[in-house]
Amino acid sequence: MTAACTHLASTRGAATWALALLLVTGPSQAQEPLRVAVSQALSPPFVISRDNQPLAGFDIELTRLIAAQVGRRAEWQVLPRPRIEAALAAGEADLACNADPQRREGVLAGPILLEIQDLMLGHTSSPAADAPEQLPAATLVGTLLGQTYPALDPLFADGRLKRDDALSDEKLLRKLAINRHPYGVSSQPVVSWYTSQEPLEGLGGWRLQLGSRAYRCLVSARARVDSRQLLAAIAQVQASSRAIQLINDFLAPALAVVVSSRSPLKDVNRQTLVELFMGQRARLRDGSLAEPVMSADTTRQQFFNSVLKLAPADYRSAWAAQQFGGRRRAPLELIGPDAVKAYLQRNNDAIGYLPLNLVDASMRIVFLP
Amino acid sequence: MKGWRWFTGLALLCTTAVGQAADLEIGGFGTLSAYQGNSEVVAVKPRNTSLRSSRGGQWRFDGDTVLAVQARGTLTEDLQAVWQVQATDDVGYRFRPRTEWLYLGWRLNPAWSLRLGRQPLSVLHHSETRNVGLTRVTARPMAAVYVLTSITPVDGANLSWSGDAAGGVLTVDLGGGRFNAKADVGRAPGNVASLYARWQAGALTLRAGVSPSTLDLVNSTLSAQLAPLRTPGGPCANCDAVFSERLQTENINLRLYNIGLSWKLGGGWTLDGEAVRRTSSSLVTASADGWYVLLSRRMELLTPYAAYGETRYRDRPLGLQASPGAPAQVAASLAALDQRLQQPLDRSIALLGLRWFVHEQASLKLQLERWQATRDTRTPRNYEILLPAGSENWSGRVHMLSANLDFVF
Repeated sequence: MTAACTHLASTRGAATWALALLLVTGPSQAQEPLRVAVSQALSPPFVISRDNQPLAGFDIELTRLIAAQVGRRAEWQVLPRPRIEAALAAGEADLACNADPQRREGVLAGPILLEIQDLMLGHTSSPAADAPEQLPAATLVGTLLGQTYPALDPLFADGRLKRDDALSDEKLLRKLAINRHPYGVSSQPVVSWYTSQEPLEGLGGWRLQLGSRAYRCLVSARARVDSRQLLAAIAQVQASSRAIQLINDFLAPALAVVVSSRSPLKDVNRQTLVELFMGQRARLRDGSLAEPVMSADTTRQQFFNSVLKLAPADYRSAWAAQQFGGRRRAPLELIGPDAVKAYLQRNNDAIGYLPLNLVDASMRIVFLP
Repeated sequence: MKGWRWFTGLALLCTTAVGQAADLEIGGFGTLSAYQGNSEVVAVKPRNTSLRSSRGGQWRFDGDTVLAVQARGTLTEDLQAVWQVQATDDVGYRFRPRTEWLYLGWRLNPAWSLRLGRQPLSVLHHSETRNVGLTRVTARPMAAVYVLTSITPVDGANLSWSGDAAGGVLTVDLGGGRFNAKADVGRAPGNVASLYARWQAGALTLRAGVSPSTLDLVNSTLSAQLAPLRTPGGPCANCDAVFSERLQTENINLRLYNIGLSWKLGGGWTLDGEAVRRTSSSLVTASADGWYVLLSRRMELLTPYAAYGETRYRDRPLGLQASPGAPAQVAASLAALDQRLQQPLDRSIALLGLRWFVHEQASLKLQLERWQATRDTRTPRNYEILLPAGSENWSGRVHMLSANLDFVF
């Protein structure tokens, strides 16, 4: 969210320029739709399909906005991932978003719209890892066909890890859930979608950040609409409040449940977190103590919505029974993420939550909603 | 006297500990309550420990009204001292602050903990939080069950174990101590023990407990009233023998058995239920059963709820007999006394209510209860329903409307 918003804010100047350009050229009145290439590999929340037809999702709504900006309606063409840029280069498609730019002739890259975090995750039977190098030699890692992974590619190249390519994120995660490969790599929004919207049994709770990649749209130099006009429309959409709304609707800001990297805790599921933060248990299932810590800023509400799935009043009510009924005191509420992070770094038994962009090597993600 | 010395010592220890604590937490809770009973014949009050009552639509603002402040001092990672003072409309206190909790708590290891000091013991679901309105859906614990125990704090100890068991979290409490309950008929000092278990797995929570106790009833008025009947050659032929056997006021043995559940059914629905059986060696605290079920549905900040419960008293007639040659009205009076001593207070309670979380730390509750006497509508009583002697025309039904604002701070 933060990274995305920073990008959006920084491009308001470009949007003003784009708006001026649009006023000069005027929106196209042509009735031919804008042809938007959509990769078959994309999964919710980027593309939500039924019967192989894209219906909704962040990419779909974003391209719908861009098309509207140039006075067209969008028409989506589902293509295999490797075919996307070729279609753009050949002028068979006008626009594609959420695609890796390959610097192909005839394809223009738009501005970076937001940063998407790549995460490694594992099957519930697989030990959590704090770094890819910790995985045993020749470990099979689920990957996306045609996708590059800067943090893992050197390990794939020298054979320390092996790729197991899937056609889509959804297939990758489903294979991981049945332990066809012990580990997998996917993007944070996709993982969060399948954790919260369609929970897959078999996925462990821990996550390992592998860095971020740029989300941008590609435009065909032979597009039906002038490519400069299309790039300007992208910039204008990027600067609009509707883009921020889209991000909030589909790419919920990532919040990670974390412990100190020195903590023995590697993984925890949602039910245990609910029991822990609602005062129903003081210990984890392995018998070790865990001290829940709250952050009193806006992430608190996000934590209630996405992790506990309870109202703050339920939390207060449950802890009032503990606090005034001769049991335990309510969790510490610290002023904000920085204070929580500092507390977690000092206390190995503590468990709290942080915005994903504040998680660094001193923290371990044990659950990501 | 020993009890006072012990309590004073503990109070000094705890207050010193709270004062010396490296980490001191001050908090509290309260309820602002208004209630009215609609009957012109009987008066009602929210709890049998309340001092005042409402009749004929009169609004009263005591009842559930309570204010409590608690200090918790964390002395070390595993040792804390807690002092909670409450001011409520209890018989014998009338909003004078009194200590509800005053204990030192040790976490012996991650599974075991010990409380030593003044504390309510875990017997029923709301035993430890009976006055903390924000912790429950209803305005107050369901009277059908909670009328059968006074939940008086004890001066004693409670050992607690908590751990994973059978796919859930099991908590077992073993406690005991001395108490001195106050009631509008006198006071009742005694000893109590409690064994309580709660198992929670996901949406289901099951509870069970047993609590034996021994108490004396100190009630000079009752003794004075019954004394003439026990006199040899008096109007009653067998009162002395019957009272000695069934109406002891010393060494009364009570035992409470309790089971309960809470089940989150999905879609915001929750089913709660609790049943209790009280067995007693004396009619002073008659043997009785109580149960209730409560269905509620959480809808955002609102929780409508409905509940039904019953209380039944189980003691058989005493069989008081008039002395040979006594006037006829003596036999009638003894029959009425016999009836009254059996405590024929059986009733059902049906209630509807709505809880509204007006704030994370506050909820507003509106609750309408219908109490229906199911066995007797003539015998005078002085519990949550107050029926004066000589009231012959009570229908057996009374409604109580409550509006409570619960909060914590």
